[in-house]
Amino acid sequence: MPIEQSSFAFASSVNVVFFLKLFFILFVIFYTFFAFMLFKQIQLVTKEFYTPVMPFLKFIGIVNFGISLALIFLVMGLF
Amino acid sequence: MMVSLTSLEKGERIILLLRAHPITLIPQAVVTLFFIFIPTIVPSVLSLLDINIFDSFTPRQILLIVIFWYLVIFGFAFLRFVIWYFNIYLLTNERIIDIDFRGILHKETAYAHLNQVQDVNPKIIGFFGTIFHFGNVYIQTAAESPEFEFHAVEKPNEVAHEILSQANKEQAEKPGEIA
Repeated sequence: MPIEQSSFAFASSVNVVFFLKLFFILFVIFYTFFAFMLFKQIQLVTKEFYTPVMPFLKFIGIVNFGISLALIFLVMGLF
Repeated sequence: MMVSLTSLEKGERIILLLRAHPITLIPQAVVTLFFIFIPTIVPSVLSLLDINIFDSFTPRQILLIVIFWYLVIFGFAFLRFVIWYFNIYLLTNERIIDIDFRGILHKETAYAHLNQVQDVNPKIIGFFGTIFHFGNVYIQTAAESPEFEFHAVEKPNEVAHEILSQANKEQAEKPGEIA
């Protein structure tokens, strides 16, 4: 295989994987921030106003935040 | 009613708790359903064009992308539900309270005493409003917020009637009396 061709293939594969990983990590970080803010808002509203559904919403909010945190590590490991 | 509000005064009780009619969630539900089915539609459409996206990724990466896709859809649906659920309009025997939750970074609460209520206008507009009997109730007040809008609430005429009757009761009371 010519040197130019092999180095081009190597460079392009590194770039695609690198940018894909970067994109996913940034997006998951953004999503984690969003999930955290949503959970904080639910907490704040619960302090002001209470209905029987609120604990369930808080639970979903924290699970959503936990999964998004776990996904950051998964993206780092898998890509 | 199993509902409590920390800012309620002594003797104050909740008479009406309102939020937008659940039918107003349907557009968001349709968008959510559309995005749920995209991962099953896109590969089949691309395979018709002889493009196999599964060749470009390992099975683990595809699994991760799918998990991520559904997490984002879930986040969108959850946010829409929370916005709907936290947009609350309350009528107590003393005040009207409008809790506006417009997004994760925007929440507003407005209060007006019933003796500051000047005018109440219910409005039912549109096909769905007429069919499902929901609409807006506009309340003009002498409070800091000159107008309160109860958006897309069920039975707006009855809500307006109840607000007016509570306002009349309040105006008949002696100043400072809570009944």
